[in-house]
Amino acid sequence: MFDLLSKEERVSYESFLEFSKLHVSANTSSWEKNEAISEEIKQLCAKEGYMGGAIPTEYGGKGWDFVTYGLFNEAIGRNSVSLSGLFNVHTMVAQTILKWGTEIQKEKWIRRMASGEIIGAFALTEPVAGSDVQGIETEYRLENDKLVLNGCKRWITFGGIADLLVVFGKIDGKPIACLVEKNTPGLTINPVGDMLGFKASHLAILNFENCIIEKENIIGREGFAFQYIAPYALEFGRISVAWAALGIVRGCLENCGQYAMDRKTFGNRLIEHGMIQTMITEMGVDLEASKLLCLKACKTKDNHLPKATEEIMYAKYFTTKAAVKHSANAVQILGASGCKGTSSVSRYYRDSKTMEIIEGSNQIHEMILGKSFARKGKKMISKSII
Amino acid sequence: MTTLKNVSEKEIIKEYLFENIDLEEFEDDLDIFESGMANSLFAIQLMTYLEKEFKIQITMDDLNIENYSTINSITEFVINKKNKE
Repeated sequence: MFDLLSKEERVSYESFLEFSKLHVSANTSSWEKNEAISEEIKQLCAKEGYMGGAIPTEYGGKGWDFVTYGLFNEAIGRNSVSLSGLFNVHTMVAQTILKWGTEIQKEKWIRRMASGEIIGAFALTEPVAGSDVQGIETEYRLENDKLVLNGCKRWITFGGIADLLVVFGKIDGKPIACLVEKNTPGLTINPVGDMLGFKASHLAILNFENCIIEKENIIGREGFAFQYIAPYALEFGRISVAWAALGIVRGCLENCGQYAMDRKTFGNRLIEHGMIQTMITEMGVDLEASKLLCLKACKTKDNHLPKATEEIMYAKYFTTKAAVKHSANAVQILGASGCKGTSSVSRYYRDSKTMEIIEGSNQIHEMILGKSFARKGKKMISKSII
Repeated sequence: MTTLKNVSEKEIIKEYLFENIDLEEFEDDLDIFESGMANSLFAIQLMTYLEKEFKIQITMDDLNIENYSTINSITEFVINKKNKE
């Protein structure tokens, strides 16, 4: 990947890899066991400025471009997608405020998010509504010039420790999103444990019971939350997931490469066996393809081109599928060692399945991309281009 | 109301829409979202396209569904926005 990066990007990536190796790798298992990332890592990420990585410098962030943000997620995701999940949701909230927020909202929240003083989380999913956002039942109603919020959000990543939530709902049947603070009276937060993947991501159920929300906390305008605000934010989420899945595929190849070169069976190294060569070849080629898709998507996003929306979806779709396939093969290659709960490949196996579901399931991606590619295919004939 | 003066913006927008939605021909006043020709992700793509192509910044103040519904309304929105900026 290095040859496709600028000098600045390479320097940043090396520092991310070093950080991940020193501070993430050694602690992942205990975070998984505790079903919580540590307070220390949160503070360290804040100290390094990572909480404001994708936030503009004018608000105290690092002003990373999206390639750099992706590289950061890859380096962290290699060792803990629970931790990269923090940057995923935090960035979705920050970018939502930056794009659709008022100047007052930006001044009030963005600097504090950049410094890591507060953490953001994205409250969209409900017990009865996930990908089909139109089914959302959370309700806002206007009363005495304030909003009254009632409803329930489930599977909210970092909902257990977030200070600021973007909460989607409906008002008079129209979609709306508002900023809701953790300490709002009537908000109850219950952790969700025993998940398949993202075990340390502080998943939570949020219950809102007659929460009073100031009208100034509305993000954007009534009627646009599902068509503009959620899809805009989810692009940033997909970037994080795609690159973190890339980190998983790299981790699979690193673990399997070492094992296949060193381990002997029937008098030969594992790598001498044809079926292992096949699995590792597919792993390596998918790793290379995933890198290109992730890089292209983020370069397109950095250039503010409309096709970024779809290219980010290609990257998320491909890398998460690759992560599922190769983490399963990695467990197979490592045998009993790979089945141990604390092994990296065991974690990859659990986490990658979850990554096919979040930020728009891969089936939702197929619903959108299938039609899009068919249309492109038809146009290719008339234009004779590929 | 779109006038001859605005033909270039209109033609650029038309070409982009024809390239990216399902039909090859449609009326300038047909609602592309209501008619089901464009999905919700296209709203974001269109927004990004308009920002990039016409060097405008779309913010919360521009969140008005009528700004993006038809070829005519998109053209009118772009011209007004360019004049303001």
